[in-house]
Amino acid sequence: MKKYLIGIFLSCSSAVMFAQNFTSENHFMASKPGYDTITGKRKMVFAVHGNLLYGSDGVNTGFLNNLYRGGFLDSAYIEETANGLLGLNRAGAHYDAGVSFGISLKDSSESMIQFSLRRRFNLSARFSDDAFRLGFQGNTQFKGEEADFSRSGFRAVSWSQLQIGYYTRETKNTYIHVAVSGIAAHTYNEAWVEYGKLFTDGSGTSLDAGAYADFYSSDTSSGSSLRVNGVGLSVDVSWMKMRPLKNGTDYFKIECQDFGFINWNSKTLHRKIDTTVYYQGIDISEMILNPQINANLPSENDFIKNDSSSKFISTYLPAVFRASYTRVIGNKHAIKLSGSMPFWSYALPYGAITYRYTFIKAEAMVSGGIAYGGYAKLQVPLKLYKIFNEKVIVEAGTMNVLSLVSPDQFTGNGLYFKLSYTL
Amino acid sequence: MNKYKSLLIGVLLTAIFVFSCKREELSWDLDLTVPVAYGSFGIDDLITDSLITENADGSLRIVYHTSVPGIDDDSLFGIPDTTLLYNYNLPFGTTTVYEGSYLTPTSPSQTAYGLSPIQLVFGTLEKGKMKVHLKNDIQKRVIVIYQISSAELNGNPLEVIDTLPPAPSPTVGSVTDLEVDLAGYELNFTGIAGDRVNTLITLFTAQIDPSDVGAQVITPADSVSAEIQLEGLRPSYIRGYFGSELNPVGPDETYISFFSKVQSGSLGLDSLRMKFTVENYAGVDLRFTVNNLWSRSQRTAQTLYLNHPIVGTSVNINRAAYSNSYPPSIPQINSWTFDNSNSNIVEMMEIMPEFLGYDFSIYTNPLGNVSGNNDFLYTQFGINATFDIDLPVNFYADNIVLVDTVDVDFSGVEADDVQNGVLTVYASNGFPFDAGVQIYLLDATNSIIDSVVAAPGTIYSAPLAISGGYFFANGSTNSIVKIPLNETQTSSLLHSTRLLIRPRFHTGTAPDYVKIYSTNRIGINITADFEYRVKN
Repeated sequence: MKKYLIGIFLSCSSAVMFAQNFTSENHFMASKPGYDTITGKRKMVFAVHGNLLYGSDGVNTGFLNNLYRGGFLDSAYIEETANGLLGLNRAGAHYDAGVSFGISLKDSSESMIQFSLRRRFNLSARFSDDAFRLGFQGNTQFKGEEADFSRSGFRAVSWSQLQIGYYTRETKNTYIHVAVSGIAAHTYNEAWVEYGKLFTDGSGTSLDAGAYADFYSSDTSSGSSLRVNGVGLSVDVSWMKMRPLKNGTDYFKIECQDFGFINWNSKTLHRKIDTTVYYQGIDISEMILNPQINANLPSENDFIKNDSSSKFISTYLPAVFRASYTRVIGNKHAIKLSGSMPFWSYALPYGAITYRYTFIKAEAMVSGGIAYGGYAKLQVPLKLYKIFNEKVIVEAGTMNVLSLVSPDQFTGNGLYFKLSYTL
Repeated sequence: MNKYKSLLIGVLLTAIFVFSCKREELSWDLDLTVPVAYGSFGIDDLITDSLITENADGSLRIVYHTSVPGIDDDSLFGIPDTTLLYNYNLPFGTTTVYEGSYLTPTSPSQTAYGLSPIQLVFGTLEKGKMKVHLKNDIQKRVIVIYQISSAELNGNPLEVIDTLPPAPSPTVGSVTDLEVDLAGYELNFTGIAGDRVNTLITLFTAQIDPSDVGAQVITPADSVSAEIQLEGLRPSYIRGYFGSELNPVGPDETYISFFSKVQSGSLGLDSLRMKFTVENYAGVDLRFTVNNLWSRSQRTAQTLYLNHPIVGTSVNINRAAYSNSYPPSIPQINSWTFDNSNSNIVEMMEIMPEFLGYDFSIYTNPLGNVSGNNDFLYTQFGINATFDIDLPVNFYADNIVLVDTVDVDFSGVEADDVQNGVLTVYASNGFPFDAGVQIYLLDATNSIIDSVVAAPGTIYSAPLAISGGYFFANGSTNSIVKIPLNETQTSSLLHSTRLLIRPRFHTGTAPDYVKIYSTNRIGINITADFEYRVKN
């Protein structure tokens, strides 16, 4: 059993990579030999999991918690938050819940085929500090100044995923894993403001705005949140090399996750805005001639020259490429270095170093480390791992223990839970 | 058992983790600055362009025109509705009629039209109707012809022909109703010999239908009748003698919209001229008498009568002549000008009246039928009386307050989400007077329910200079007026549908006058700084 635990932190350390698409854990990892928990022979693995992750490098966790919980945000609190913004900020959120089932081939852990059903949501955004202030504080503070919200955007996608994977021991010391997913996509909303500026006259007598932006939205006219508005495919691939040492083992692993696409149906709305507006209010001379004040005027159409159309749209899934090196020392200690590069999301590259300690008698492990990047600044991940009755494995962790302790001072947060049952 | 217990606990924990979070409504306040209104306008924007005239020196005059509605051609020369009756029956005894038998004489008759003292010889109808009610008590088909041969349209006489069915029984007749549009008909009122007036040539004939073969005994109870109604005759042209009649016009009042929105204050006018004009487009001599002219302010319950020699004096106005062009008659125009030197017209206008009253008498053909029945009238061009008020914009105003209502629709605004704010008015005033405005909210019955701006800030007058005894604006003055609105006021404003606006003007130069020039303008920018609650 002791040696079975060796691989735990290989996955734990990657799980704390609070970045990219937040799906840093491959939920079949619980059954992968060599770099997960159980390396002994077993027939099958059943697992349920859930994680909720969110963060921003410009906005602290406490503010995001309040956004999620709701309630009234007072102006002083918003101002305090705004003072911590970067020039360009990123934010993201993710949840992933599902069940997975794996069965070994030839009654061996050398090869296994897995099935997984997952419900996922991903939000990725980038925004300037001016965009935040406009959205949460208004334009009064920009009197006599120009608020620049160019190159701001967000993308929110929800989908369900049926994944079929296969891993095998390629050679004595190398392992390979391939998984293909069919995707039923539900909702898609995206905005990208390539150019967006708003100048508020010093006395407020005019607004001068310009915007060049694209908006996309899947068909939300009717149906439930599980309505299928698009279909797609994705692929996960990983390869690991293990090298036995005199007093331990080291592992080198590379992996690609969620490389795929979604084709949204023909009812997907694309709205393109390319407009400049100079607004001074209602022309008083018009009011004198026609003494009717209609607050509906001017309408949006008076301002925005837009071009809307419904059509097929293809989007990439937020994906990640990851590389890691793990050095296991003896049977209690391990250190892991990892780095990730996100694709098709607004997250930044992510790096982490983690340490793991194994409680052999207790059949448990704890890991912690330091990470930076993704959608957050400094993060201290913490994870616990415990085996019950040699068959039930419980994993629980946070992506940033600092945000749990002091959410108003740190960025990025997340909770992770996984329960595996093996035979 | 333990392993299943662990599994169950794990599943529950996962489910709780994923689904247990329930959020309340998120909200925050935005501080928004929004331009509300802007504009730059001069006196010509405030007053209809057609009222404004610019003098050579750039100073302005207001010319207000209104007409007297009381002189109505119909009342002078109208043609009343008339009913003409025709009837055939045996005076006594019985007789037998056959197919083709005539029941009436076949020669025309002359029908006099009751128009006295007007003696018409000719007319063209602009509109009118002839309603024909025919009745047959004879139990045979009867052909009825009704003709007004002195009424023609494109050379064809007015004629109605109808075949009446046999009476269904000796006691029940058959009836037919017809209607003829008389628009465009020319009427000759001179009779068969051409020596009469107000007389139409008519023919009513009734004949047993020649195809209704057989004899029929008729008695005095068997009649054939026609009832002819001439209704709504409106001539476009008439000729004849229009009588020698005294026609009162008024007393009545015409509404002056120019001062209608004044609520309080006093006005001093440097000078004013009012021209009273009577245009006679009718070919008839007139004797015109102004019995009274007055101005009345309903607001102050003041009435001032005109002091001018014209009042009580009769004036002869000659008849118009025919014209070969449009308009078809050459009018005789008489006018009188009232000003500071010959009347109290300035005082009459300084009370800022809403009504101008008049009491006239028009005596037609005071010398009798001197035209030999050749008076004429194109009814589109009758007798017009007009007032033209020529007001140089030299005045002083002592806190003149106007009042007006404006319908508003703020339904496009999420009224409950706007918290409070400040309206700021930036004004660059190039007029030689101070200005301010009060704004109130009205309910459905136009009662004031709340105020938005009860104590108006002041938009100060432009710097003043003096020339020729008049103050004038020399440059402009910038003013900022802030109008704070609390949450209640904001909510009331955005839920309202009608506002009461009270602009106030004050020259502060009385008894000296200020002069308004075409270059005087006021630039206004209104902005709103307010808190807007975003809810999500």
